[in-house]
Amino acid sequence: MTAATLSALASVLAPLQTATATLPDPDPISLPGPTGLLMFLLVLTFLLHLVPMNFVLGGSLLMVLSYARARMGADETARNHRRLIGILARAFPPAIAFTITLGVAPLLFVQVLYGQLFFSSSILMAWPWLGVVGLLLVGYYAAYWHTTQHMKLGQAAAWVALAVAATFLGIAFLFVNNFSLLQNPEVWRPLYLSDRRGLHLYAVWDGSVLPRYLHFVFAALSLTGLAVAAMGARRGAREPKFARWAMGYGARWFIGGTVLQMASGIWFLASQPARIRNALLGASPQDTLLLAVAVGCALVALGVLVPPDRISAGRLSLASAAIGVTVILMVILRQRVRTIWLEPYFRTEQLSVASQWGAILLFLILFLAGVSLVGWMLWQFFRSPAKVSPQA
Amino acid sequence: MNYPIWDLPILGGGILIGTIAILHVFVSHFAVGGGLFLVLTERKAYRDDDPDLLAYLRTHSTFFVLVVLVFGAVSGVGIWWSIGLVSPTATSTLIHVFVWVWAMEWVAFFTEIAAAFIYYYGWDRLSRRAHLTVGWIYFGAAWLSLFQINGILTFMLTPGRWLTTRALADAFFNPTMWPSALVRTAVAVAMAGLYALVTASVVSPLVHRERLTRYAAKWLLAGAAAIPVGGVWYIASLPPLAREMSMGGAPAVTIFAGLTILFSAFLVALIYVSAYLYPRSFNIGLALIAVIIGLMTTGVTEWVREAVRKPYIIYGYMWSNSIRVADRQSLQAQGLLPRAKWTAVSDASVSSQLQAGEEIFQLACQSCHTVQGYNGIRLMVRGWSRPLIRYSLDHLDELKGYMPPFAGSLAEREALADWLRSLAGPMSVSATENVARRLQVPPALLAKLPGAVSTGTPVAGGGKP
Repeated sequence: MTAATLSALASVLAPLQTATATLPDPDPISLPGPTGLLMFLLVLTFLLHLVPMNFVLGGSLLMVLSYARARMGADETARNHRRLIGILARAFPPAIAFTITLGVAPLLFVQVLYGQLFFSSSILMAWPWLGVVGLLLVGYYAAYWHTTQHMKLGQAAAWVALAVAATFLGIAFLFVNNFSLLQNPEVWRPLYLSDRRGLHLYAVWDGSVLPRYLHFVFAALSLTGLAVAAMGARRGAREPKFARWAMGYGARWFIGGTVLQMASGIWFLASQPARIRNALLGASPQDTLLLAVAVGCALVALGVLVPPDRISAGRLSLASAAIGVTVILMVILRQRVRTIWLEPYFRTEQLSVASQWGAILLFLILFLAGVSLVGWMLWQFFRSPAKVSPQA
Repeated sequence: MNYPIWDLPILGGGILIGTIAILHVFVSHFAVGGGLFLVLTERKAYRDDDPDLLAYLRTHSTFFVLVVLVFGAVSGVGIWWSIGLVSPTATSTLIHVFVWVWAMEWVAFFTEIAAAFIYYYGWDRLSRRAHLTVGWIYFGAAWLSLFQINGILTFMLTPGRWLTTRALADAFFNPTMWPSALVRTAVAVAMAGLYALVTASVVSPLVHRERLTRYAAKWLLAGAAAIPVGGVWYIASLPPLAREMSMGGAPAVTIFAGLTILFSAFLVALIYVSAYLYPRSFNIGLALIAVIIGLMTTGVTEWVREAVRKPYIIYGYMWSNSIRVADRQSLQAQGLLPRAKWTAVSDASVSSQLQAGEEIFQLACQSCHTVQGYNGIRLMVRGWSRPLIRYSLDHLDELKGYMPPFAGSLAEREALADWLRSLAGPMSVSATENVARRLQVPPALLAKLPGAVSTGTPVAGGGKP
């Protein structure tokens, strides 16, 4: 081996060596449960978080677009958009509440499995990361204000809706930033030593942040489109004209959002390091299969809903089932990609385990009790129709 | 050492966490007690067939949702965010010891939020019985959440047998868990009354306002009556050093502990006279004054609770600066810098002394001190001679019981002393001697101090400690 080859090899390996050196040690206290169980709960609760989160992000964007369209005239389409604004607005406060509530659990499991990575990346972008809390407070109160006052606010309501959408777009960006930074330990030390005040906005460093962000935003638009179409299907008997419009409008957003999402997905894949790209494109058969089935299901959903004008409740159900499979597989694939990304630095299998079985059992019992109670309350709520319209 | 240290000039991490935490505590106790208030008052309204009380409750529930579901939930997330940024090592410990308790708390949180929405949207939709049941589910879940978080919080001050057994049950059912749960439950009931006074004070007509004001005042007074019982039990369960600090050992802590009692007593007296005895005169202005005093009481009480835990962040396990007690000896032998992963220098003996000293300050001191700001070190060492600074570093935990011992190597002490001396400005003989006497530096050493200065220009009588 020539000196030049050795020198080239050393320059390739240098960042990895630095990264290993700056990676914090995992906590000396053992994991209190099997790694597989914690990983399963991380993936499951993240999946649950995605449902209301997509609605909040996508719904706030659709609401802004509906305001823009509703202002353009007094025709039936404008009326439909106003109607849609009212429906979306009513669903917002609980949707935000459940986005937060269901987001707490995956963050807990991330901290127990990847704490040494998560805390480090968060500290590097401490102020922007803390900004999530401020943005959330502003967005949440603005959403309540919009929900309760949008009829009285007139044109100003559109600006409030825009503020809501902007805060949630901002929060999504900060999350994508942090979780991208989390899996790039080689940039941590230089970033930290250049400035320790926690002001680093990471996106500028990483070509994969923007496509990753767009991939999430388009997914939110696509899934909210599907939710709008499903809402239309449920209202078919009561308001047939609006229902028909909502189904078509929602389906168009689903199709447009999914196509854009696929495009951003290809960009995202192209921006990955070769070892990730290769793993997803043949080198790792199980990951390739996951990606292929996920994309295949999305294509099935697209095929079923094209053309959007001829949509029916049956086709909608089929498309929802297919896209549901895509979402589940994509969440699993996301975790797989993170695992492969982090392989040179850290494997969760390295962590020592001392399971607290009694506590695990108690958690499962309490979880079942909680789900049953929530189920009972929802059943009580939906079995009795509203006597008077709700206060908000 | 394991994690990067967030440099928060002027403010310091403690103030950031404290601000978010105090606001959260002030709202989250209302979230618990307010739930009990809603469900018991609703039951009373049905029993007394009182439509006015029911109408008030509906308005109060809107206020409740806006305060609790939004601010309460988001500020709770805010605490988590801020402790992870300021004290990642301690946060990681709490996550690892209690992950299943956090997970159970998440179930309670989830159930609580779902119940709050169904209660709020269900006024016109659910049967009375179902609505009341949802209210009870809300309160049960909210209290369970308090109970679980209380177990984790009290663990930090009194980890008890966990220090030797490492068993989760010992960590959770620690010596101050039950008394603290009692105090917090009582506070929650009092908070329910305090917040209800705000909404009651704007009710019209006057006859309803009077009745509701007196009713809300009873909640506050009942809660306040139970607090001292739990309080005495809690104080009796504290570690001796923590008890001493709040009772004269540390002047600032003692003053704040006194303020807790003073503010609480003033609040109770104010509400007893203005809202209970003379509800006719009670108005929104008085209600807001009461809320501000309530917030101040929460602030000083939580500050004392945090302060008496010093010099630890997890008593007996981890010092305030996130260094584990078990690592002290090896760190004193090998030094902090060789083990630190995020410093620009890794050896105090070969690097620039001042740069090494600043890095050591970040590692060992910055969790409680800023350079110039909250608990600013520059002002503290102003005019000190180097030997005095160096002596202090050797005896931190003996000189001030609420400070951890310095955990670094001898070379690192020298580097830190040099850096602190560089901040201290012109050396003041009188300042050095005053401080040395206050710190009870041995007379033999005291005699040498001013004259033994190695850095800085002596200025007789200049500077103040």
